Amino acid sequence: MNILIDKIRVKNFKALKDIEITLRPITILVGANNSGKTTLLRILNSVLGISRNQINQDDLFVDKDGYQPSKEIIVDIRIIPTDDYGNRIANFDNKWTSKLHEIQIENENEFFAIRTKYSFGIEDTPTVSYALFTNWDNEQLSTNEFKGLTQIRNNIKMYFIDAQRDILEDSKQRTSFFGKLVSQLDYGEGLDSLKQQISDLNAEAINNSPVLKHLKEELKKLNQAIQTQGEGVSLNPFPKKIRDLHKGMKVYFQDSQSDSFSMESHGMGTRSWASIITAGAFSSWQVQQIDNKIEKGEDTDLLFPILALEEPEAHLHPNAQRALYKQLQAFAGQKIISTHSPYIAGQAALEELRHFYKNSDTSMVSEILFDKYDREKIENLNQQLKLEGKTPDAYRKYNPQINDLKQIADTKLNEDDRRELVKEIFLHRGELLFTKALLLFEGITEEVALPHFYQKHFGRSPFEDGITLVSVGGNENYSPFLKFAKFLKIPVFILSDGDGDTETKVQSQIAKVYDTLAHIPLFILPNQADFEQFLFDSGYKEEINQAIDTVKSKESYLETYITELNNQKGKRGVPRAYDGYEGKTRALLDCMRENKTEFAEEIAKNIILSGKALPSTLLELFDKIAQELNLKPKEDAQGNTI
Amino acid sequence: MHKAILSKEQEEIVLFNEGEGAVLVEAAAGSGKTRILTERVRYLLTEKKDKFFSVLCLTFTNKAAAEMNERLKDVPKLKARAFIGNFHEFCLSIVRSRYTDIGFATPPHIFDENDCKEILEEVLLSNPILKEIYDFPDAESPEIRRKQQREKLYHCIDFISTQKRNLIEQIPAFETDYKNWGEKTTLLFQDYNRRLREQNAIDYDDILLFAHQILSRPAVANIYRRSYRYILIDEAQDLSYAQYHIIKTICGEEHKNVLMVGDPKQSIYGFSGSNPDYMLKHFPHDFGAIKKEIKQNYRSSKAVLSLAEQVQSNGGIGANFFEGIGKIQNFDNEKDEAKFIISKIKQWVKKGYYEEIGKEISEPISFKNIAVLGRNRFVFSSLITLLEDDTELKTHFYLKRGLEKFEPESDFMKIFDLGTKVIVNPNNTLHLKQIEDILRVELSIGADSFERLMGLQQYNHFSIDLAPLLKYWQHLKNNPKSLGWVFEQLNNFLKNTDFQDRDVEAAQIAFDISELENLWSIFIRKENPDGLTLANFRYFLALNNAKDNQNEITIATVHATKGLEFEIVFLMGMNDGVFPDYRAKTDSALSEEKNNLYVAITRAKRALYITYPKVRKMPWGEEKTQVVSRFLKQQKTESKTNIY
Repeated sequence: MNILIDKIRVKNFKALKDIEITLRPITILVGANNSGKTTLLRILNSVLGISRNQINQDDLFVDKDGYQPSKEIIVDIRIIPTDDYGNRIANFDNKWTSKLHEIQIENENEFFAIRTKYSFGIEDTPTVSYALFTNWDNEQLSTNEFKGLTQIRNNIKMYFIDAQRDILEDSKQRTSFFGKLVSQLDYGEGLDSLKQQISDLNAEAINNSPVLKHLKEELKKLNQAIQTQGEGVSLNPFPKKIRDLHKGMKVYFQDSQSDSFSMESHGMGTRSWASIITAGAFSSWQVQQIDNKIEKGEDTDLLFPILALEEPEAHLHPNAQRALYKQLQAFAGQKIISTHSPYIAGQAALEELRHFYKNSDTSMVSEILFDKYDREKIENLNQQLKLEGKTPDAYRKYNPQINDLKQIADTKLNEDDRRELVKEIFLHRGELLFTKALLLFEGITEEVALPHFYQKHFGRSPFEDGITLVSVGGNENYSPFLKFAKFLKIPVFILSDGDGDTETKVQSQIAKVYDTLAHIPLFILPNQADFEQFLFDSGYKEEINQAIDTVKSKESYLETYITELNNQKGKRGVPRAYDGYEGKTRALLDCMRENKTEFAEEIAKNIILSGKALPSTLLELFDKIAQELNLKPKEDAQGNTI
Repeated sequence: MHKAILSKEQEEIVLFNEGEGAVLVEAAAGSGKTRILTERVRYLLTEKKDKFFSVLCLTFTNKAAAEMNERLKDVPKLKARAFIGNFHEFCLSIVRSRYTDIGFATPPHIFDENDCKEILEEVLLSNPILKEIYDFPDAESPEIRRKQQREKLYHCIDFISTQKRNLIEQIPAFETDYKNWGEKTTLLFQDYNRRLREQNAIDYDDILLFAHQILSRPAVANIYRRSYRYILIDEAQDLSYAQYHIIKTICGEEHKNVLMVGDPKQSIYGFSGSNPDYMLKHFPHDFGAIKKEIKQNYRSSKAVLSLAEQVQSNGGIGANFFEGIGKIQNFDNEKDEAKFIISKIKQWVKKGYYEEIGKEISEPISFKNIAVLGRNRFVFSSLITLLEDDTELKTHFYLKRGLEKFEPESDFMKIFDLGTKVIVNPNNTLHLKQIEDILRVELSIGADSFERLMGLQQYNHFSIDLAPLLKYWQHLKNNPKSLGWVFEQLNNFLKNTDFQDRDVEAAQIAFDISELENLWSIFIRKENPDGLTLANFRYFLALNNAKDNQNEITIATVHATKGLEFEIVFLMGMNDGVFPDYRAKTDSALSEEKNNLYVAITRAKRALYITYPKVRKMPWGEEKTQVVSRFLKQQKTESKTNIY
């Protein structure tokens, strides 16, 4: 790998008013349509693309009031040296040092960064100028004119493959990756024998076919009509000239059982994917050519390919989509992929995700930050502290830094958070990464019941509104989801149990992740209740009982339950006391809690069927969600809101 | 050009250890030093299997670098893979690309020695504490006072230069007694540097000093270390403390691939702090260099002094070993004057030595012992034209660039030149002030020097036409790459302007323009096509100062030859109006001119030929009758009509 484009800054290009994005060896861009993913790929392509798109006046950022704040589009690209795994290292290797003139240094780490500026006057096309950065963070540019962009383009090339790809179209065009690749055919020493074989093949094909033979004889009349000194007309079922050989080249694809079909007969999914593979083949072919030159000691440009892919999942079956990420990962160079596929995004590491979203007229991007580097710094400072003998002076010197870092680290994700999230992403098949909002709660009953209540309230499933419901599994497990939502700028709603010190626990988790002032809509079940108790308190006793009977297929199942278990040891060895009215209530709750997964669905259905109003806490929650996300309430059959 | 044929011992050095490791080559004069360096660079760039590295080849003069680049031009991507240039060029490239590391907001511009003296004088005059040491209130006369001040100035410049050449660290702003220098010296040093900084300028010594400062940051040195895997150094006997340490800093502990070529016998010991010990002792010690050797191979005469004595009495001619030659001769025109000089030079060189009957000592004569001097450079025009067409001499002369820079003779071009310095550096107040002084105007106060310069619009000068200057300055400001076009326009302006009786002035302007155009044509051959900006040209001019010690005839103005001596001297163009200069009208100005003539005459050791034409052809074709310099009217003149 050796180098990486690790940062891009764009100003005033379409909706990208002012955006800085961090890239990795493979970066997955997610976000709604029109949120700026493709726009980013296009502007990068305008600088480094092997077929660069033009930038014109229409591309300037215009705000919602139709005002154009600037006549300059700016693209900043930073290149850093990396190890084989894409981790930043201090120095460029010798090869890249010899290609990147004027390497710069920031915090004793080398980098090379260029600003491309498109300035518009009256004309539609801009004047383009380039400058080198001497300091990236402070946006400090060298006043010397940068003349080496051609050199950079000769060594760093972006292959942009948009969503309109099709191997069939590619094979007809010389400018496509397929066309470029097959026009470089070199048959080597076997050329003469190949020519002979084709000639023999042509002769044989004609001799074996009475129709062709007849046609050939008839065509000879041409020779009589037109004076010719050459061999005259000839009929060639196969291309006669070696250099034309690639023109009729077709890609065939055979499934395990069926006959091999040419690409015309395949669906768009296969054709689209074949097109991507061809682009990968083109870049790896070029890399190979360069390696050969280096091997022979020839002077050569280097090649760092950047594959920019728009929606590689197009037309592909979910299982094929899952396999896609691994294949893309194996391509040479850096990959930037925009996708709407939870299957692809779900395969990616959380650090590789970039979430695009619109804030009014402006595109924004967010990413998930991990605490690894902060923890390493803390560790280093602790080592320093130890080295300096843990004196009071040393403590005074290092403690404030350590504490600050700890505070920052706590807001970021740790490895436990990752495991939790990955589990959840896997469970929901990546859907979490595309969600509009998160509704978090503690347990399984809520997870099953809430969608029904939501449907009753809004007349749509939460899924339709893009809301993902997540059971975090216990009141201490909110953190990973809160961090996730915070970094990806996803709104969060919490419906929490009210028992014990749950409320304090949840609030402290919110305070740790967000700054203390952040307002996360938090709804606490009243009367110190858990969700089961809450349903009972809300007056759904009958519906619960009915549900238990239905699931257990037994009339008055609760009586059986009480008879069997009364006075037996229950939770934490406390004897069950099911006598009397209160005892019966306890029995009902116990029964419900011990069989959450079994009853939840049925209980929810019964409550809705009963036509009773939803509990006020839930109504408050739903109203808040509707307000924050600008959702329409339920409409009745006449289209009136209820 | 293809690979040169090498002798066995040359080839051994070229291929030595496949380019790896430190090598010290002691090479005698004429042993093919340039060839060895050139071929080693070629070997490294083409024969090494790995192609991902660059070569740094540092020479002492621009000329040597240009020659190497020419010989290597068939090596692919030479410019990208090798830096072949002199030390200052290399160091300036570091300063220009990493100027932010040393606290500049834009790349700094170079102020020459005269500029720096002026800055220093400002420092001495403006600060009351320093003024005391510069005032000399007790001097017996204004002349003596002026002399004392001049000496002080030289002394201060010398001190500052010495400190910088020893790579002095940055003196903190609050420091008042740096290294026991005392308050005044510390202040002087700080103030001088501060004033340069204010004008976004550096002096010549700063180029190396700042380059070293930049390279002192390990991460930066690391980049150069990796880039320049092989370093070659020409004329290593003349390495200075600063130069040697720059090399050492780039190399650090691990980089040993350094080859030095030099001849201790040719060392100009002490010049700019150079010392052959860096090559002979430090290099083997610090780098473990392996040593390789390659060995193939009193003052003016009586005649000269008596002429000098008549111009300005210096207490007699004393006893001299040689009788010498001292002659004054006139010619019908400049061409004949030039032809005479050329034929005389050829005679002397052919003879190869100077001898007198009855004397055992004979002096060897070659091109480098011969000089042609003149009051102004435009008197050389015909001579240079003929020299350029002379197959024998065309590669054996050079026009010495005075104080190592382009020096226009005419006020018009002086102002043009100063203006271009202001265009590239809006913080430049020094050169703006010089323009004010020449024109005797006061420009409005402002932050941007260029805007102030354009304030000249409101002035009308009695003899200098400011309108074209203003027009071309503005054009250059807006179009930094249009200097070539501006030269054409200046020539047109000159052609279409009636200078009436100011013909000498017009000739000077024409000469200045052609001088500048010559430099421009050297520059455009060297620079990338997209780098042909005024700013780059100014940097080029600032460094185009190579002292050349090749075997060449020196052609120089009297001012440029102070401190030099030659066996044979021609002093040409000795017409009134030229020498003394037509502008010298007061007694003091005329006496200064007389001093100049004295200096010119005393440059000659054995033979002096003073010549002048009776008719001078003006650039626009008109012929003007000329008379001999008033200083020489009492002298006997030989008329030469047939010089062959």
